[in-house]
Amino acid sequence: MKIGTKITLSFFLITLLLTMLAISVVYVVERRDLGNAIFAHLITTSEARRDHINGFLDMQEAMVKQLAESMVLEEFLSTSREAPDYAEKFEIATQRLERTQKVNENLFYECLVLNAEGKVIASSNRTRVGLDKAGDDCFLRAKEGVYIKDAYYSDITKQRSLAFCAPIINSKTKEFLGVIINKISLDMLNEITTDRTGLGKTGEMYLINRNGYMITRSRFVKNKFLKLKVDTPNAERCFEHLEKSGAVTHEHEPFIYRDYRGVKVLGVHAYIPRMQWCLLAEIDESEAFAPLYRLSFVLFTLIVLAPILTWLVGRFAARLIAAPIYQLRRGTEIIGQGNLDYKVGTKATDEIGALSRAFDRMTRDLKKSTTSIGSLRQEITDRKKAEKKTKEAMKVKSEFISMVSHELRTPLTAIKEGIAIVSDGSAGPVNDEQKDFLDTAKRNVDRLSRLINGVLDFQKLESGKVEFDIQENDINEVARDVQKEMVYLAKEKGLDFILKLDEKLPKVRFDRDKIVQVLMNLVNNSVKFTNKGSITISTAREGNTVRVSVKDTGVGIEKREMPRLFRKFEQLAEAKNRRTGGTGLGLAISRGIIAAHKGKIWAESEPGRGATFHFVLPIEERRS
Amino acid sequence: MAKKILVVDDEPDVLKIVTFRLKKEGYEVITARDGQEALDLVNRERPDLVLLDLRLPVVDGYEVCKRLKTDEDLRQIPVILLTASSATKIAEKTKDFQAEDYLIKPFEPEELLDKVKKFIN
Repeated sequence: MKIGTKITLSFFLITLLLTMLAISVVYVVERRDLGNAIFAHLITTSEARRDHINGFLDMQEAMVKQLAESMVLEEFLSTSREAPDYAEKFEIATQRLERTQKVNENLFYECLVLNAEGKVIASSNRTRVGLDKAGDDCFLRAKEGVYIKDAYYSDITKQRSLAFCAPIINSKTKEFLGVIINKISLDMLNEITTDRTGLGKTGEMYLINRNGYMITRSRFVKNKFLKLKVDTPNAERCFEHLEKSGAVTHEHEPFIYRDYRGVKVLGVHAYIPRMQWCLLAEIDESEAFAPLYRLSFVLFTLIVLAPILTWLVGRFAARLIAAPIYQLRRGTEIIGQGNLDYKVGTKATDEIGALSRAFDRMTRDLKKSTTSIGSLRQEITDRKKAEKKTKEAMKVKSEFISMVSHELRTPLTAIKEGIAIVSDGSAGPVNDEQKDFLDTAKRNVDRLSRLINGVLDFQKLESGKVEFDIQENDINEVARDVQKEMVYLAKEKGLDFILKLDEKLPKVRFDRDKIVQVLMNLVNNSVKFTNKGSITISTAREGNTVRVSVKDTGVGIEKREMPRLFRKFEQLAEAKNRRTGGTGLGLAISRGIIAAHKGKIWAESEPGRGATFHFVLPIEERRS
Repeated sequence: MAKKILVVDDEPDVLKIVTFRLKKEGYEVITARDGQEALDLVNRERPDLVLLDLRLPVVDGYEVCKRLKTDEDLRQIPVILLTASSATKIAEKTKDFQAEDYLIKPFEPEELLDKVKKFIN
């Protein structure tokens, strides 16, 4: 899975999970809180209404009691029918009743006074007089005390009513005189119960009697007075409590059930023990939790939107993060294929950006080093080629020279011999002049021979073909041998030949013959250029080298001649004036030999006073 | 009167042999071993021909030739250059320095005598 997708997916899943979690929590909490709130509210409302109803009942009771204690009524009831003032008393009583009723219109709509036999003898409504109510609940029960007749439909008055009945007692004799009945319209209760305050659109409150029948108006169903049995769980519970008639208990959880309509409602109850009534307060669940449903809608939208949003954000973030990574990867591919000029060229400022830039730098450096490696390689190849060519050329040259030298030597032998034969008289008598010319010839043949040898020698040295026989040798011994060889030549010119040798010199590793050659060359030169004085060979130890010096008291060497000294074929101007000949190679060959021994050779001079040639040989040879 | 030839060479043996040849032929020979000596002798002796080696000490052959050929008086003295250089090179040089001819060492005695006879005044 690509990094980009991983990021997007992570974003998405995280947000989705969090959202779902949050929404669930919110929903649950909201629902509970809402339920509790509604429930609490309903309870409060219902209790308030209940208190109101109780108050109402109390008031009615008080009213009827007060009337029952009325002296007027007492007197009237105490008067017999036959008494002359019966009619008068009747009138007073009736007027009193009429007045009272009028004044308390809002409390009761009719008042009946029954005698001890249960006959209506007075009323606020004169038409009622004479009715027999002996069998009436009110009469029967009111004898003992205040009795409230539960809701009923009065045929007489054609009204839904409650009746408050109180006994009329002779205050002196305590004799039961009669009953007073206050008829109350149920509308009064309805007023209380049908008040929609705090009940919203679907909330209602109603009373049900001990048998479970609704006695106040229903909000939804008409004309169900005493016809609708409310057989709901709420009603059940209410009656349970009534039976227990103990402490007031409420549900802790919002009580949800189906009401008499079959609709799911949130409901509470309050009971009125004296009437054994249940006051039920209900509100449709849909209304109660309407806010929750609205919230649910929002939450649901969120659940749908959030993932979409996070997907988009995630993709954006993924691209932001992943893009530089892809750039880098692509860069590695391209560069890996060999294109070192490619730059990732990121603008990102995060760690990936830094990495990409570092990568570009690395590529640049790599390019530099590969080009420099490339050019190095090219250089090496070129050099090797050149070297090879040179070697070949040298090989060719040395082979050529060897061949030529050989070719040159051969005729020389014949010439030399030819001359010798005539010169020594083998081919006939020879006069002085002839001999002189022959000697001249012989001399020059020798010179030629020496020249050829010198060139060969030098060539061998240059081409590295010379094999040095390196042994431990005594340099002083060499010096002594050379002196022995050359002393005669020196003496011929009247020169002294002196040896100044350090006897404590260690043995040095060198090729004896070659070093002899060098020393001979130096001494030869010295003798050549010195006309008076001496030649001195000295040896000494210097650090980890041995120095050999040949000093003469000859003409010396000019400063400007110094650089040319050891070059091939260079000869000092003086030499040309001499008869000593010389190949011009001597010093060059000496230098070659000394160099091969890893030593050094050089000259010092005071023009006119003499010259000294030095060479050093290392004591410990470090040959690879 | 015998013709006078000046032979200039730093090699004594060469001088010896060339002198011998020329003398045998009847010429008078004077010798010089370096450029300076050569110039002096030319001035003093006014030879009829100069055999001039190019590689000379003190004053070299080229210089001598140049001086001879740029001098009003000495110009007409024929000069033959002697050298061991390659033919092409010396041919060029001969033209450049306005010498009469050249000889390459080693040379045949006949060659020498022929050229001398040819150019001598």
